[in-house]
Amino acid sequence: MEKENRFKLFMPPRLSAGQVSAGRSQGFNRCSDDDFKLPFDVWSRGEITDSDTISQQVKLCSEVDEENPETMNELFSKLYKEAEKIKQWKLTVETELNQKERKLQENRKIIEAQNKAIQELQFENGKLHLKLEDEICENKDLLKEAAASRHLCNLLKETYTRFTEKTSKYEQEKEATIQLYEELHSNVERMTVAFEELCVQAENDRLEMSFKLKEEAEKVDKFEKECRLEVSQKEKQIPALTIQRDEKDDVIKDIKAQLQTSQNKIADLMEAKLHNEEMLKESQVSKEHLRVELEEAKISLQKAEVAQKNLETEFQTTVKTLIQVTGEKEEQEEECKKMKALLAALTEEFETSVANLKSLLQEEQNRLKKSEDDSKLLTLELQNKSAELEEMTKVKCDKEVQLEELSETLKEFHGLKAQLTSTAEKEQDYLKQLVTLKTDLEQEALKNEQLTVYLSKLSLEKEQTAQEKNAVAAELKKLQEQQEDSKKKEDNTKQLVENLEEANSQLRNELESLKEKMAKTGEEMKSTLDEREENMNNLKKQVENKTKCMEELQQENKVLKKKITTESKKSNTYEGKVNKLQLEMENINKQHKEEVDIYKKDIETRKVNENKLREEVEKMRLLCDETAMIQRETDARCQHKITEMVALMEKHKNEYDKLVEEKDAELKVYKMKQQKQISSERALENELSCLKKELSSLKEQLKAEMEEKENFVKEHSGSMIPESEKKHKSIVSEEEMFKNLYKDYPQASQLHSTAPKKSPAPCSVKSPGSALKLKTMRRMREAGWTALSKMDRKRKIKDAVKLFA
Amino acid sequence: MAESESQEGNDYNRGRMVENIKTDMEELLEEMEKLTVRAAWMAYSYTAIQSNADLSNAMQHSEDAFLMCKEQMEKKWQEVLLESRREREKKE
Repeated sequence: MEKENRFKLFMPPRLSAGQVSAGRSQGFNRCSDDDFKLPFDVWSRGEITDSDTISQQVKLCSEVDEENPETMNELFSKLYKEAEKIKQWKLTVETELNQKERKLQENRKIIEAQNKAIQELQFENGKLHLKLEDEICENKDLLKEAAASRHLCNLLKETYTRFTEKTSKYEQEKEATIQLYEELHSNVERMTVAFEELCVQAENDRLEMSFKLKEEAEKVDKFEKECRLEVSQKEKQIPALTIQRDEKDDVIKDIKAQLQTSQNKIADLMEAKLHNEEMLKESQVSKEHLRVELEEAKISLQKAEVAQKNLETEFQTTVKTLIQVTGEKEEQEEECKKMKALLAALTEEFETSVANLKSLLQEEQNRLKKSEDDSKLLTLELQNKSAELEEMTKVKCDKEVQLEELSETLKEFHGLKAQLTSTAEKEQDYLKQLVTLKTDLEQEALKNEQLTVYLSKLSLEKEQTAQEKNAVAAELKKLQEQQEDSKKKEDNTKQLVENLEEANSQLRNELESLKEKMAKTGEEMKSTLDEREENMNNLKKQVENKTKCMEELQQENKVLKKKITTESKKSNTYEGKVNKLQLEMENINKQHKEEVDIYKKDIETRKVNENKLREEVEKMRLLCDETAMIQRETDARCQHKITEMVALMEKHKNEYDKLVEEKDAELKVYKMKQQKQISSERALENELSCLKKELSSLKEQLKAEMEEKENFVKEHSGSMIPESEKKHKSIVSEEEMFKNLYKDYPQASQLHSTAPKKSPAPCSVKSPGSALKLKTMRRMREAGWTALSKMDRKRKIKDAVKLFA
Repeated sequence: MAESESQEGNDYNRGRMVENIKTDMEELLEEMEKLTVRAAWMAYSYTAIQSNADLSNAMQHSEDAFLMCKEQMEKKWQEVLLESRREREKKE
């Protein structure tokens, strides 16, 4: 190409190739790289270079005329050299082209072989695919069978487990049955053994019974023999017994006779009893006579009683004396009562004084409490402090008065203390007198006791006489018992009784006199002794009492002295306290005044603060009211808005629901569209496969047409080898052109690059896309043919240029 | 490609399943053998228990003994009584 361009340069002889070629060789060198790839561009550049050369030729024509002819020869030689070089270059290029064409053919063959191999592989792939599907089906079937077998295995396992459970149960039951069998066997054996034993025992029993029967028979026989012997013996004994019986009958008769005699005797005795009873009655009559005599004795006794009464009169005299003494005692008691009354009055006076004092103390306490309350009120009440201060001063005066009164009361206390001591002393004297009177009363009581003792003694004597009477009655009874012996004894006894009674009376009198005397003497002695003892006791008691009183008085003196000292101390303490209280009161007054001033200032400040706070409170209330109103308004607004929003929402709910439904429908539509697109894609794929087939057919057609073209070119001229080559080139370029054109349609490029395949899936499906594809194919064909036509035109132009050049 | 991968996984799982099935089947066979052994032993034990004539023999022996006892008890007491009566008659 360089040399062709150089030919173009050197075609006009006017040019000076030196400067021009140097300048253009660079451009040509640039073009050398793109020889075979872009024939259009080359030819286009060739046209451009022609224009450039023409322009440069015009420029150089003017410059070349100036050069020498020597250079022309050199140029011609260089031209010849370069022509030769060009020819050599042509040859080399042609050889290279041939080689390359061979390589291309070889590559095409290789491609065809590879395509065939690919087809075979695709066939095999299809077969393998079928096999795989079959195997997949078989595997699925196997899986199903395996699942079924697994299910069966599971069932078998379940049945196995059940069987094992049942076998275990069977085994348990078998063991139980074996045990039962064994037990039964053992029981049966025991039964057999027992039965055998029973047989043996039965035999033994039978034998024993037989032996026993025999023995008993023998015994019976023996017993019979013995009985017979005894019968014979008893028969022999019978006459002897009859003789004895007769004898006994005789004895019985004698006894009966004796009984009769005894009965007669009993009757005689009964008569005697009756006689005796009559005698008893007579004795009883005598008893009555004796009783009368006893009554006479009683009369005598009554006389004695009269004597006793005399004694009693004497007792009465003594009683009178006692009464006198009691009267004296009563007088003394009256005096004592008077003294008691006086003492009571004094005690009452003391109690009243004590009550008064207590009341005064209570009043003082109350006053103190009041004063304390007043002081508290002072501390609490700030507003009336001035009046309260005055009141305090008044209270002070009152307190001073009270203090004076307290001092007076203290003085009174001292006087009262003295009075109390005097009254105590008086009470002590009166107590002494009471003690003496008590001793006298005790003495008289003792006397009374003595008299009672005497009376008891007399009663005892009476009882003794009664007892003697009883004894006499017993003696009388004894005499009555002796009446059976003789009546004389009764008379004698009477006489004796009379004598005895006389003696008894005399003795009684004597005894009574003696007893009286003895009693009197004893009484006198006892009285004297008692009096002496009483005197002694009284004296001792008086001494003891006096000593006790002295001790008590001393103790009381000590106690009173202590009380006095304590009270004096208390009074001193009270005075000190009063002084302290006065000082405290003064201090408190000062403090109160200071506090009053402070509190007044505080009150003023607090009032100011209160006013400020009240103003602020009013402001805050107003603000609160305003805020409340605002809140209410806002709440109302919010509620209105909320209601409006709710209404809007409710209104829009339907719209939103509709929108939602529409969107759902759209989603469904989009899904349907997607599904349709997927189906369309699948259909497109199917159509692509169909197109592949068509392309293969088209390729075959193209080959056929190319062959026709080649044949047509061969028919026209043999020199058009380069044209055929060019057509080959053009075929190659067509392929390249198709590739360039089909860049926009990659699917078609694939179809163009690959050989037609035998697609396993039949492209029986026809869709509207197939029409589009056909249209595209037609466009591509037309573009290719137009390109070819353009190429033909360009070649023709170039050939023409060459020819004309 | 995804299908091939899933197929490969299924193949792996299938292999595992096949192996598991083989092992399970072997275990089941063993268990079934054991079960058959147990069933045979059960049948043998049944027959052994049923064929065991000890109880029946023992029962028969017991029955025989019982009957013998009865007979003895019934007869011999009567005999004893008769003998006793005879002896009495003889004595008289």
